[in-house]
Amino acid sequence: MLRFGIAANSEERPTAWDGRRGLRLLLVLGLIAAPAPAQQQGDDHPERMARGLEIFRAEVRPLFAGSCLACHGDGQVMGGLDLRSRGSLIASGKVGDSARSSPLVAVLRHEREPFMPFGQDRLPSAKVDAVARWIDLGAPYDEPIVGSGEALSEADGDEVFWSFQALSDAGPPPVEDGAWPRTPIDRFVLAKLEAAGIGPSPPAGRRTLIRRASLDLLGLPPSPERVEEFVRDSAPGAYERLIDELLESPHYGERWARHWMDIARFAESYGFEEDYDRPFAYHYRDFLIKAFNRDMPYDRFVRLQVAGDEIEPENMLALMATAFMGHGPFPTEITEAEFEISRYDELDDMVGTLGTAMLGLTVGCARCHDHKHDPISASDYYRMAAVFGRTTRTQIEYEPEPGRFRREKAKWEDRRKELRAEREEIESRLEDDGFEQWLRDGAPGASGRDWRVLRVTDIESTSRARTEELDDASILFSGDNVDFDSYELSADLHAGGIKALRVEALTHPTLPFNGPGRSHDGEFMLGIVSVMAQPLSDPSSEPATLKLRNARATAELNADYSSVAAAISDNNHRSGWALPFAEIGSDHAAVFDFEEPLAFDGGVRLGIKLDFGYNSHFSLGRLRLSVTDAEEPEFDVGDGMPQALGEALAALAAQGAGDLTEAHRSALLREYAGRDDRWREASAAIREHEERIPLTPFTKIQATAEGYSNPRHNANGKGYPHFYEQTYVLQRGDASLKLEPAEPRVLPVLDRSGASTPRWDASPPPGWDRSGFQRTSLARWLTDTEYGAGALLARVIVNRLWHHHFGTGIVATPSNFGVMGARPTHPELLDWLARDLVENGWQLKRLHRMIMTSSVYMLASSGDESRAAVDSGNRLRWRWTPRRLEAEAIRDSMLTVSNLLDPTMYGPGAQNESMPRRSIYFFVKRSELIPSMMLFDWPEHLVGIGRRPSTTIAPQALHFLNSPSTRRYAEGLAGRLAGLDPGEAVDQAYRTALARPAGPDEAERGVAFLEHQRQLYAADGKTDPGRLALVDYCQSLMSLNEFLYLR
Amino acid sequence: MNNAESPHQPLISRRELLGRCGMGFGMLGLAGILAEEGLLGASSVPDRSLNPMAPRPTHFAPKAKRVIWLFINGGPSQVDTWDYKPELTRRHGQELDGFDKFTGFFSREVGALLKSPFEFTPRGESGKLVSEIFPHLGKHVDRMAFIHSGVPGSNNHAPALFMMNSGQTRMGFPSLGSWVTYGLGSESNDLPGFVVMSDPKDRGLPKGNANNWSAGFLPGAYQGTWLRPKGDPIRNLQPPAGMSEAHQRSQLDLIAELNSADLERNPLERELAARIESFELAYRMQSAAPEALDVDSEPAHVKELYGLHSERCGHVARQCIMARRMLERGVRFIQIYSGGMENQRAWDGHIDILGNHSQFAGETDQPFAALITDLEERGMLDDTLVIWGGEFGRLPVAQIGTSKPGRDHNPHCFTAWMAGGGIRGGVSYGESDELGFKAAVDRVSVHDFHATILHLLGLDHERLTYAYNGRSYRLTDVAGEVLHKILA
Repeated sequence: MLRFGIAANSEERPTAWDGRRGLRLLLVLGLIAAPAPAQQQGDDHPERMARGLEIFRAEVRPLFAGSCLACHGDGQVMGGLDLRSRGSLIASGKVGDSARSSPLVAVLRHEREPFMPFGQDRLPSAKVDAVARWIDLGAPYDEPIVGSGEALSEADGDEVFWSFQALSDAGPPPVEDGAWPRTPIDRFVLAKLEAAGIGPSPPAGRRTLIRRASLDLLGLPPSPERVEEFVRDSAPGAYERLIDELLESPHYGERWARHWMDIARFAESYGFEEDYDRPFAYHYRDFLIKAFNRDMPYDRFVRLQVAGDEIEPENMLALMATAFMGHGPFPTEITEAEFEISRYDELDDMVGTLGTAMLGLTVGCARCHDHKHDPISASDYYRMAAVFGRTTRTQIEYEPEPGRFRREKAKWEDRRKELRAEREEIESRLEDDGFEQWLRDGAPGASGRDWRVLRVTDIESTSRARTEELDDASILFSGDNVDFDSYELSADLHAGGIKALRVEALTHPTLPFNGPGRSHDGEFMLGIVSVMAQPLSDPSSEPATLKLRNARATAELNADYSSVAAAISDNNHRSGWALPFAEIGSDHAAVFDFEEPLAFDGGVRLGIKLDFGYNSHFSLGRLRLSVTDAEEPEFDVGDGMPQALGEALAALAAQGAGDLTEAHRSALLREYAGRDDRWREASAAIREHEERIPLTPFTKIQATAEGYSNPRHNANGKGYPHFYEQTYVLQRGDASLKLEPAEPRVLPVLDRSGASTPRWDASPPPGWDRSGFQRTSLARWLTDTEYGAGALLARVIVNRLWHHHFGTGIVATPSNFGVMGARPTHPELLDWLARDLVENGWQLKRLHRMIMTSSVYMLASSGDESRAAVDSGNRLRWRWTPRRLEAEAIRDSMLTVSNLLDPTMYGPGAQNESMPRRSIYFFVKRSELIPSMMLFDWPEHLVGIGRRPSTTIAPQALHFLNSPSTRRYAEGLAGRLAGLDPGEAVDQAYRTALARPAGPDEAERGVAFLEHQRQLYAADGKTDPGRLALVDYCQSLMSLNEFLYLR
Repeated sequence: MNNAESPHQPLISRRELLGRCGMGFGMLGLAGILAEEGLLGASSVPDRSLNPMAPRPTHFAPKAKRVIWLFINGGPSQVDTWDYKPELTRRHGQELDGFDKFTGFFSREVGALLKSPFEFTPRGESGKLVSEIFPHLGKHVDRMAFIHSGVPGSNNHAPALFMMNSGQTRMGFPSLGSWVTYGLGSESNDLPGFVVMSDPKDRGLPKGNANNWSAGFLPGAYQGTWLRPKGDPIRNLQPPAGMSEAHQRSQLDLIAELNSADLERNPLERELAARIESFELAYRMQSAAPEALDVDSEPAHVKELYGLHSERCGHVARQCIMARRMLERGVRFIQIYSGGMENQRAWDGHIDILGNHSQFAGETDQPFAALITDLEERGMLDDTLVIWGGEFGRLPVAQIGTSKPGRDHNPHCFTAWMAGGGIRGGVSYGESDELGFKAAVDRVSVHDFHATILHLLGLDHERLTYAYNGRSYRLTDVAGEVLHKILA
């Protein structure tokens, strides 16, 4: 029997893969163990036996030997099903007690997955019927079926499962046709084809090749000019030059980054019910594009994603890379009872994704029990999870161009100082010009305003927004780092009692749509307002909470969830004060009365807390705080006097002009100066200057690391800890059933170091206390091809490239190299490529080039029945299998062909379906995935996906026929053809959309269509029937299978 | 358009293609054509990859052919609807000893036991005690089988919704409707197989949004089609502005001809043929879907029956009539969500259970009852399974903090009922404890609930599986028992 594992560490896992395996197999595929066919021992037993054997010899044995044994008994036993003998068949648990309930029959009938024979057409029902009858007769064998020679022997018992073995060093095999191979790849492929007695298809033509290579490598079709240039290029090496040119295109990274985003379950929101945005996740996408374009060695690419914050802490790209571990969905709204299990779910997402993405191992299956098929125990799982025990999603501030902002800001500050000095100059002149008299008169005209504008002395923003106090005592917030911000503003009051608080929401040119909010549309939602007060005389005392009532505002979005009342009535930051959309771009104010007027002696420190909610950017961009002692104060915007003036006026009234402090005098002087035109001009100049304040370039990047701040979300209010110091081995994945502490460790099955202290152990440099370097150790192990997981790592990435180039991997299950995964069709080739990758510095572009310049890649896609009869699934690669383009390539092709593509790279994505950038720049919001992308099998972005399905459904056709976007693309293409006569237009449309000229019939048909449609539109009285006809035609061409398929 | 006169004509016309394939409009999908062409092995089981919605054989004879789930979104209170608890009335105002304040969502707003504010009266021949908020539905109690011992998946909306819809509290797993259409295909050629309707009154989607009708890891074809409550219910159903049917028909003819010629050149690519057919199907959907959703064409007495013109329940009446029309036309699985996101926008009666449940029962009672009556009159109730239930129940203790008492989430108990196809009417299965706090007798897991639904549809929940990421998955995970006692 096949066994797993490495002898060197068998001691550590003595029981994992022993004789209980037989039992495990009964559970394969989640089946309840099915008993063997009833051993009928009745009178008719001999007769049944004879009939069964007859069927076995005539039908079942040839069928098993010809169609099944290659994977189920001849050298390998996939899915635990070994067909060689009755004993091994029954032990598999897949027979059932009758044909009706037989899992084996069900998979052969394609009534249940996995359909068998794997990847091939369903067997004729007569053959399956024979198997069914045979099972009902007791499934007798006359003698075991022997395979082609690689039959398993007892000696194979210690054999290591193929994907856990070291890389083979076998070279390319000899072939008969020495002329066909262009690369070593071709010899591996040709040897198998020759053995099967089928020759490869002819090579593809040049037009096919350039379209194939361009769409495959860039996800964009070639321009008609480049097609003709390539077709005419008769110099040797034209194709190789084309591949090199494509590999140097920046669009290459945009195409292959998107493939990796599937694997990394990349998304830009949390998922679950609230689905809050993760506004800085896009940096990871940009990291991927840059990494692919720069041909970052794959081993470094992997290490940075696991431990970039430890390995290259100064490199922002490395920090961006770590976001990989944290892209999984997470429920921000969780109850106390769900805290711990939510954290284990998160660890499961990390470990599970790491396993499938990097190693093609479904490690996550070992969460509740030892892996049923692969040699990974539950304890292995939890020890690997413990590596990430303290790792959380976080945000790290980042300044893209260090220094530039500081210089610009300093310049701006200097100018503001000058402007202020000019104004002070005016004030000092006015001091000698009637000020003293005005004071002695009791400062006529200064009082009479209800509101005292607070001088904010301290501001804290949980998102660490940058703040600037402006000339009118308002606070401006900036910095591209907003994330569910919460402001705490302090102000000291020295005199007077207060009865109400006013919050002004003010506009500013630096805000989106002038604000007042910071969302992309200038919106905000003030979710919770709370006010604390503390006597200045006793700073250590517990601040008192002031209850608020009677909330009112100059405008509110509705009277319910988006009302100003909701900012104080519930403790929910999802509901609160927001503005109607028409009021964006105008100043507004909200007023809250204190339930008890705040009277104080000796001064008080007010702490005003503003929590913003609804979504990550919905905080206020500019605000001003005021208080009043008036009953029923006016609450219009803008009215009010500076706090200092109020205090000065009180002092003036109490003590007279002679006894004023310097601060009181200057507040009064400014008020007095306000009557002077020159002073008002100088103030206007300051305000104007303030409108040109340099915007802080700081942004944040989303990372997944240790020792940084935890993310903010709903459960923080309930005290969610984000991680637990100790990770435990759990029984059945239940957080309440802790078995033992789990110490961080790599997977033993991929540890061939044989050492008790793993050779990858890393420790932090002196003085480093932020993190424990367990992830660095794991990263070293992952990329160690000699003693660690590196061989498998290399195989998996080689196979992923092959999968995308050919539509099917050498291993057909790119994210599952375990027992339940497919076996490689060309294992020696896979190992040879993996070794070549490792030995040449893990350079993926070199691998692309080698694959794409092979004869196998350059084969025509057309197939003939005779070869198909031997290998209909093209497992032997006798042709290039055509396939439908992915959602991104379809849309990007349409954008290209219509000349509407905006090639801007990088930066925040957009959710708007009609945005003209490449589809990789869609903002991936889990609850609002782009509908037209979903039509074409865009992933759900919840777990890593190595192989997208390709479905054909009617709504896709509706999209081509009726969607405004398709129509827009058609208009774009028609615009490129404007002015051509119908024959030329048809030909040029073919060249643009399909990279080939129209055939004679197609040209004729196209011209006839144009005329027909033109007449229809003319009859409708349309003024531009010719153009409309051309648009209809272009729309049809972009709906064709030929446009959608890569061949 | 006919180019038959053309001297050299290798392109096949659409009509020729369809003629040769032996099919016209309205036939089954591609698998049918290809089987006749001999491209597929002869078998009664269609190939899913070519037509994911082709009807598929059941595991055994089904009792129900289609399902409509009236989803009582937000979590209906069992003790205020169908599970009468005299002991709760008797102990009204007493503290519930030993109550864990973290049971519900708001640990700081736990009050004393709260009797139902509603009167219960016996209804039907079975004499089932029914809350006064269901005057219409109460007439049908003899057709309903009640489950009083349901155990929800969580005390939190989204996980509980995911549990009820997909059998898992996490997101990303296929919903029941997806499993059913995956298992059975659809009997409609030109309508989606799985349709979801959400609150039309701007109160939002259920928590977790479209994940509640996601296909998870099943192919995207099986995900629920959400009818948009405003504007065109299905995207891209109207031709672009200024384009008449004649324009589009000639486009379709052109596409079919060029695609057919392309198929001739690439005979091994079976998907190409499926895509050719998908355009014809799309064309049919353009007229079939609006027709199916045309509530206004119903006779006056039907509109009256459902309460279409009632201010209180007209919006739900419209959805129920649309649902019945779709069921008639072969749609396999429909969900109607009553209420929007949470709190007072759904059955989530944290505040004022009396007002909340009066309102939402009022919005649904007449239309839901009319749906049952209407299905029965059309002879469809025998093979249509009607389900009433939400994501969890509510606590017998009051949620306090406002002037009107409410009830918090109950993760220990819910009540649901089923009626129609294969259900034994007038029975109550399982019991909650004397206060309606916890499921007590014959506890029913969500997996049991799902297993029973699949069973009624002729599907064995242990055999309806899908292999994904190294594992074989099923809706009921590793559990689930069919509730045979509620079957007819």
